[in-house]
Amino acid sequence: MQLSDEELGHLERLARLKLDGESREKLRGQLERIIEFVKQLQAVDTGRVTPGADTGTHEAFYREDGTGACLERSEVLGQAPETKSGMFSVPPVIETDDT
Amino acid sequence: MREAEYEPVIGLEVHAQLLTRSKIYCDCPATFGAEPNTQVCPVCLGLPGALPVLNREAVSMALLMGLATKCTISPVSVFARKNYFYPDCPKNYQISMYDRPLCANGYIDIETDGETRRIRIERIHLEDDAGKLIHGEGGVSLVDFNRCGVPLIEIVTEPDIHSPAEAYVFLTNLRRLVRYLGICDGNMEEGSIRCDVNVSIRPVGSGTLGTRTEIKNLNSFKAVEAGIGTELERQERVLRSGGRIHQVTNLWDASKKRLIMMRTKEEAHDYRYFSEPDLPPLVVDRSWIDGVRERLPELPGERERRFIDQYHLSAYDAGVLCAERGVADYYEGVVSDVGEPKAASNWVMREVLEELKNPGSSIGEFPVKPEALAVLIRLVMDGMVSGTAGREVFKEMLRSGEGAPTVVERLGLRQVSEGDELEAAIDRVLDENPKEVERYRTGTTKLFAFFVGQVMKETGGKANPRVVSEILKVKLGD
Ligand SMILES: [Zn+2]
Repeated sequence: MQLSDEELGHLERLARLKLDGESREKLRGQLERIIEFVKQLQAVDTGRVTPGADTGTHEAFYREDGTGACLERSEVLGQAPETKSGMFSVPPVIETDDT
Repeated sequence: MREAEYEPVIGLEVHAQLLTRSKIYCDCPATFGAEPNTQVCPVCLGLPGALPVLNREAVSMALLMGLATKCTISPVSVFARKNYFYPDCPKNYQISMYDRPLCANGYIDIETDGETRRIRIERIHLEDDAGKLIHGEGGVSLVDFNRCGVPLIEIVTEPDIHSPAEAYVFLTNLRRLVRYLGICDGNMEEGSIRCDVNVSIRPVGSGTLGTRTEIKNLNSFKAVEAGIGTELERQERVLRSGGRIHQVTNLWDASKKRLIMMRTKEEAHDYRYFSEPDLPPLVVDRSWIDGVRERLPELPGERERRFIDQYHLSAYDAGVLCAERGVADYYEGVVSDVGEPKAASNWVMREVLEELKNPGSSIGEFPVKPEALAVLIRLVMDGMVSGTAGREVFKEMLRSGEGAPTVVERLGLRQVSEGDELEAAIDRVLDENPKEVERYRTGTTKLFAFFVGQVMKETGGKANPRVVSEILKVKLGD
């Protein structure tokens, strides 16, 4: 399985990674080996296996619709590298081309 | 002729927030409007090691919708992870349902242009809502995670909708239904109902579907209608100029009323769905479904038809009265006390609904109870109070909270229908206007209305015009 430059570029954009030179080639090789491995899994004949949704055998259990305690806001915001007005501040998310 | 060549094929994906007290997989409150990031916990923030536990009531509410839309309920459905990376989703996946949804193959019947159209429901499934992104100053986005984990049902229609107007009617029906069921408040401004649209066009009569595009960010039912209209025009333009439709996602820009095409290269179309390992399959047995079925109210469409049959109301009046369950209940409360379905419908549609337009008023807390309105209607029907005075009495009942008879006595609005008082008033009018009486008797019959008016004036509007006319006719020798 050969990963083209175009496919690698697409993955880089999705993962917000900028790779070049040696590390890019190293990643290309690793990804190709992963895909080869998945191909081995796909080769297994599962035709006679019942599709399983759940690996466990536990009984389903539910919660009644009551409310409990939430985290302190300061604790929550403490998880964020940047905050503003009580919210997490992140890079802009929607990029569009005008039609 | 141009318009007849292509036909639109439209499917909707509607998300409705369920009115549970707590979230779907944790016990944080699911209420709207709290200070940002104050209704979150390790589960809905996706912190490592936190595990979801399913809210039973969220399932029951989804089942209510499934039963109301005549869906088949799956005895075993499976939660699935939908993986995506976006700042509004801290666990980097949504717990949704994929190939084994809770409800499937239902329908909602809608009326457009006097014709009943059946819009099939492909599926209804449960999932968790994402957080809210707010576009802040200086090019950053701000995230409030309170909405993460609020229970949603996603309702997916078959591509059975054939015009923007039909999409609008469908959504109005859907909103009415979820409000009747008490499972969603239907508030589009607060995002309780959201709608994404799939649109394609094809040559009329063609059996195959064209390439479809998606419209998102539609913040009102009117925006859905306008967005579909705009996209249909665009697709037709492209096809007519020999171009091809590409599978894209458009965002509706409500302020400029236009579509913005999203950059396709930013999108990863593969959500890598797999069965949710943290939640066992959802097993819904017969007794659970039966319990939910008992909670099903009379559905709005059925109620509308019953109003037409039972109370002989027009389709329009029945539609207005049944738009809100509370109003329909109120109306039936009035009718059960006073009978008079037509008069009751006039009073509810004119006076009560008019009053409900005031911000902050609601039918549940309406100050004049159905029994009290019934008493007033009875007074008017019996001729004790005139129609005009009746409306005045109603306003005063709203203001003071008193019953109709008390208000009528206090304001002296009792209609004078019989007895010496009315006769005396008529005699006075005739005595004071000898010239008019003479002219009337010699043929100027249009003066009759003048006499009626004078008597009404003499009695301060309290006389019953019908009785006045009868007595006048006798006295004037007709
Ligand atoms: Zn939580």
